[in-house]
Amino acid sequence: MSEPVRSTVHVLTGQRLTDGVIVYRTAEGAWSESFWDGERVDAPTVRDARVAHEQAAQRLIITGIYALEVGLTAQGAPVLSMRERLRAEGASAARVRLGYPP
Amino acid sequence: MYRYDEADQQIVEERARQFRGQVERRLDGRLSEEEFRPLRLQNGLYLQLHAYMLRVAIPYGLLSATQLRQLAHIARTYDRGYGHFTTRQNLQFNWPTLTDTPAILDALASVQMHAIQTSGNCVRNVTSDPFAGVAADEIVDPRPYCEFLRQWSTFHPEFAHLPRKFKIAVTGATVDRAAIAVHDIGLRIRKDEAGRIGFEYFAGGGQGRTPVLAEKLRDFLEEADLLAYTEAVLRIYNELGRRDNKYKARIKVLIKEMGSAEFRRRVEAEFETTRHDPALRLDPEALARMKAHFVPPDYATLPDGQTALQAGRLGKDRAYARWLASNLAPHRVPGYAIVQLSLKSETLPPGDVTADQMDAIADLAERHGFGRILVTHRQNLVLPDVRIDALRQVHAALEGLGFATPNVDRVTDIIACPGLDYCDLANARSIPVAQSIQQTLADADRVHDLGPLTLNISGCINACGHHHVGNIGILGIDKQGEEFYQLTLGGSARDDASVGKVLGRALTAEEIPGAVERILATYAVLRSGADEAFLAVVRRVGLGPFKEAVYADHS
Repeated sequence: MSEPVRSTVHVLTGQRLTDGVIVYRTAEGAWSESFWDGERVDAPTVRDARVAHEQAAQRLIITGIYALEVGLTAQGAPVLSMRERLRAEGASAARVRLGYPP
Repeated sequence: MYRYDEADQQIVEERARQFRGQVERRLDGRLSEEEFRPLRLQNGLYLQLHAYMLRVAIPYGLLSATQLRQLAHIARTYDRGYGHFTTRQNLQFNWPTLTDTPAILDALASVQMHAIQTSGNCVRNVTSDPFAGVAADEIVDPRPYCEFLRQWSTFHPEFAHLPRKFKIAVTGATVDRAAIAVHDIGLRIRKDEAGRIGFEYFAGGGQGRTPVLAEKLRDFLEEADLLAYTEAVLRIYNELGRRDNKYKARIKVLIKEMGSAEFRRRVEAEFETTRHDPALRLDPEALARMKAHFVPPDYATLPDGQTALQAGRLGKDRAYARWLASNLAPHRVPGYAIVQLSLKSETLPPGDVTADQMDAIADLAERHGFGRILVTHRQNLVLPDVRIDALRQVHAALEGLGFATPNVDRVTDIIACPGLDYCDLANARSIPVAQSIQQTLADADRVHDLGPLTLNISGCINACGHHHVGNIGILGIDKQGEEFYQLTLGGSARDDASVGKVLGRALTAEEIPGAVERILATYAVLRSGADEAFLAVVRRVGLGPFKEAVYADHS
């Protein structure tokens, strides 16, 4: 079992409209394919405002934007649900795990 | 097989052209995601966990070699080099881009295929017996009736927005290989004492979170009334089915809440109207025209081949003998056999086929048959017309492709939905669980000795992996963000259809192969002989001994 979660933050995520690739919003306002690049937001008001803003601003580029919950252990390590772990792993890794080329 | 006429062709080409425009409007902002979503779903395009997924309709599971080659071309050109055959006899591409999808629909249309009504709350792909037209036990070929239903339901204006999706399955054989008891409508074609064709008509079956076996509406519906009666069933469902709660919107809930007698009464009353509609009546000329699309091919006159088959089964080549015993089915024409390709290899996920393999299967279908391939709801493929004197050649070719595993309808012939590896709705992965079970059951002799036994895995309660009707069912569930799996025993999708019962508390993925192993070991001890199948033992002794075996040291 994973370590106990001591606190939670959120990372904005969505899927690229043209190909469905999962992306995460960085602190600089760009969108990265790496979960580790995602900005961690802890204030609910900031999170909600940012989701609303990005859903409008990115409507032609990214779809299904939401704030995913990230648990943090006492050491600050992220704890994700299985679904979010698989998303964070990315499509190439998923294909390899299933026996296909990346 | 049915060939499109000019109007059919125009419809699918027009639909592809319309979708190209819709994609353009989505990309330039004239359509919002909310506006675009129902449009893409009407064309079978989902947005899944990592990518888009396009579901291609394969009407009643029947493909030509030309169509299979085109699917290979699409997989190679626009996807990642493979496709996934589903429990509804369809094919899914798991990695297309939105921008390529219009070109894919064009490519499908060029071989009389499409993705229309493979999603949404409409009548979905009509499924059937994968041995349709060739089975030795067939009473009537179901394909003409499936095609009538397909044409009637495609773009039916009244039924474009049903309360929920709607699935129809048809069988024309003595053995139900189409799982008609767990469909919204299930049809068994029969002949009466005078030799007239009709339908034993069931409705209200389904799986999902509320598994229900269908209720019989008619013992014998006359052939000519198929569409009129089905129109009446759909009309009652469309008018009275719940739209306030998607989990209670299927016809099975309506029939349960209303009572089957009252539902039947309303359908019969509606049928008094629809039966007089000439557009819905299958008159002899229409039936003859449709049946002409499905006349048997030009079979050779051959010896029955039974001596060769018997010799093969008793021969020293154990792999060939086991394959003959489990992957062949009797053909209605002497000298021919139905060959099932097991898509349950140790290397690829259940139901997956690469583009190169698709091409090779298409070649085999032309070389050893009449260029036809069928998809089974157990996620295997069928070469329906193989000469018995060519079986060794075909077996060798299939071994080379990895499709000769002698396990059809055996415990390693596992149905598995795409699960959380692909699906946005899933709670847990299915494919790795299937693969780990297959690895623990690598002894082909033991698998063979265990006899007929279905094992079905779903990654969520939507039950795309048919876990409710697996002799052994495995359901993936989410517990606080982690994957767990619930075991059920005693399900069946055949003539003795039943819904499996939950064995006990959910297990981790790591615990599942061991649990299955203990269930099988218990069965091996309890069976009265080689002829007593797993399902019969479960029904005879109940869950107790299996529960004890799985949980005794683990609770």
